[in-house]
This record gives sequence, structure tokens and C-alpha cells, in this order.
Amino acid sequence: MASKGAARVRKKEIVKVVHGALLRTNIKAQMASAAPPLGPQLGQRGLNVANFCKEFNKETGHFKQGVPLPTRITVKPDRTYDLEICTPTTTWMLKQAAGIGRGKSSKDEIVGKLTVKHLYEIAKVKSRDKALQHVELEHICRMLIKTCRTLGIEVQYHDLNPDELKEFLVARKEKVDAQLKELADKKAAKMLRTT
Amino acid sequence: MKILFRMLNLSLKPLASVQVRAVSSKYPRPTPRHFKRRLFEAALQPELPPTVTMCMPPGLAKRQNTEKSKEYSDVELALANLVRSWMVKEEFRVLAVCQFSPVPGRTLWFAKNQLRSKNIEFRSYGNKILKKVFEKTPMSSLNNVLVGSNAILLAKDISSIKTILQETDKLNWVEPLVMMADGRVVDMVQARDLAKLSSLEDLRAHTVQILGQQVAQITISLDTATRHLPSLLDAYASSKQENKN
Repeated sequence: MASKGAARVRKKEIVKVVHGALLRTNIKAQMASAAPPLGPQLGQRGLNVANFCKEFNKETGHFKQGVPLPTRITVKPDRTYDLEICTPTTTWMLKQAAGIGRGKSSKDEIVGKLTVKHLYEIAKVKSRDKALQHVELEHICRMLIKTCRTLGIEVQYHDLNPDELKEFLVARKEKVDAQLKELADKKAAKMLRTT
Repeated sequence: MKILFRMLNLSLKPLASVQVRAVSSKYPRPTPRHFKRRLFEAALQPELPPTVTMCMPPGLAKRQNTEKSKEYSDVELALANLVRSWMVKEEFRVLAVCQFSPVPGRTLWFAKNQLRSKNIEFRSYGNKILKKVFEKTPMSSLNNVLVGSNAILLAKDISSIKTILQETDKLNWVEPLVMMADGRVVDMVQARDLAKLSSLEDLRAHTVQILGQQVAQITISLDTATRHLPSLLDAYASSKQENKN
């Protein structure tokens, strides 16, 4: 009995995590809230979450709601912070340009088509980021091509044929619907499983 | 077990080929092995091909590794060619070999961009690649400093020597060791002297002035003799006439 009491008294060894000064996270435009995952991340660093959310939502007022924005928060020792909001994520912009909502799920799957003109325009937008200042536009375009490859978007030099693209997108939509249905079925089966 | 297999007229070979460890090879095998395993291996031994253990003389493995590390793979050769062609295409005139200490990626990325804004390109390929790039060029004399962790700074303008020194002084993780300007090795003392000049045009003007002075001096020297000649001849003629009289 005594040992039980002692065990109850004994505290767990808490390892204090020392966070770095920089917090890199993607926050949706105008949708910052104190809920996880953002709230705890900021709270652990000693920031006032409510004030931060208010400021972030105000700063991102010119963006469409829900656009994922890479954000860099430099926390200073006096608990003030520098907020750096970058242009929307590359993957989001590429998906929007290609008119798709889902990247590839298997190897060699083509989920969308883009031309180099699209990439050039996206590169111009991305070059405004602090991290990409003084980086050659060609280099940014090369990075975008690599991201396209990971997403499964085919990049072509010549202009897209609207009819062909429409046909492709319709076929793709059917495939994506089937994939999503399969996933939902799997999830439902998992939920119903008793053993 | 062996006898049992022989009786059943079965071969153990297919069984041996199927036997693979289901666990990761990263974990050490238990020693001594389980008796069942030892029994199985003993039964399997006559059927398996004999294993030949090779002894390696001490130091040979290390020597082989050293030799292997000196060889260039196809990828490395291709990279060296790419770097060389890029350096030629971009027409870089100044190259600084720097000691490069480890630094967080974000700091490095921003510093690279900052240097690029001043027309200086920061590259770090590793000494092996750089040695291949410099091979059969005047830059091969820089091979001596390619020890440890190095990076190179490249610029297209000679006056960038000053900029390179200014910028590297700000960064505590990059220390220039030697520079090369237009195929000529410039040590750091010389480079600092060059950096003290407001412009390299001053140096050019100074050189032109020195050369001009020499030319003027030669002209004056030659002119003096020419000017003195008539008076000398006159003096000679007058002295000769006096002697006749």
C-alpha cells in the first residue's frame, strides 16, 4: 500500500523541449485559430495565440480564404515575433493551375497537364518570396518542374489543346472518384471491424 | 534429418533456397544459434556448396578503399564536366577557394542569395570534383588548398576581389584561402592590397604613368645627346682651326 502511495507521489521525469527560434508552418489564409495544430505550436513557444491569429488573419485578408500560406515565425526571447508570410505553397498553385485536387497515388500516374508558360507565371509569383529573392527565374522554374514530377503533373512545351484537356480531365475525374470511393469503403470497413 | 530426407528421396537444395531471414539483417543473429537451427544447418551442410573463406592481408582492405575513393564514377565525371562547361560558359574571371564550415541550411541559402545579388556565385561541390574540374588547367595549382571542407566563390569581374573580401569578412563560416584572377594565383595578402584600392582603374593608370615616365626618360636621354652633338662638333671645329692658325 505504501509503495503504491509512493508511486503515486513520484513524478514523471519531464524532459523540457527547447524549441528553436524559427517556426515554419503552413497556415490557411484567414483561418488561423487557437485549435491544434497551430495553437499548441505557438503556445509552447510562449506566444499569445489569440493576438497572433488576429494579426495573421488581418495580414492575409487579401488572400482567398483557405489558401495554404507558408509562414515563418521568428520568436524573440522577449516573446515578440517576426511574421513572414510567403506566397501560397507551390503544390497548391500547381494543382490550381492544372485544375486538380489530388496528386498521384501510384508511380507513373499522370494527374494533370501544364505548359511551361504556366510554370513561368507561377515562378514569377514565387520569386517574390524572401527565400527566393535573387534566385534566377530559371532555377525556380526547374524547382517547379521537380515539384510537378512529384505531383504527377506532366509539363509540356507546346500549348494545351482544350478539347484534349477536357477529355483528359473528365477521365481523370472518374478515376479520382473511384479512388476516393475505394478509400471511403476501406475506412468504413475498418470502422465496422469488430476484431 | 538428413537420412530422413534421403529416405524420402528429396533434395534439400530447394529448401535451402527458400530459407530467408524474415527479420531485418540489422539485428545480430543470436549466438549460440538455437539448437533447432543448428540441427537444420548440420543436415543442410552436405547439400550446400562449400563456403570459401578468404583471408585478407592487414592493410589491404584500407588500401583498396583508398584506391577506390580516388576513382571517379560516371556521375562524378559528368558533374565535373558540367561544372567546367558552366564555368567556361559564364566567363568567370575571379575564383576564390574558401574554407567552408558547417552552417544551418537556411543561413547558407540566404547567404548564397545575398552573394548572388552582388554578382558572386557560391558553389560547394567537394574537393574530388573540384580537382577533376581543375585538371589540366592553370587552376590545378590550387589543388594544394583543396583539403577538408571547401567551397568556391566565382565572379565575372576583376573588381569583385574587393567585394568577395568584404562579404566573406561578414560571414564567419567562410574564409577565403587563395584567389585566382585571370589565370594568375593571388594570395590573400596581395588580394587585401588590391582591395584597398578604390578602383583597379587606379592601378592601370599608375602602370601607364610609370611606363610613360620611362618612355619620356628615354626620349630625353636620346635628345640630350642629339642636342649636345652640334655644340661638341663646333667646339671640335674651333679647336682644330686654332691649331691650324
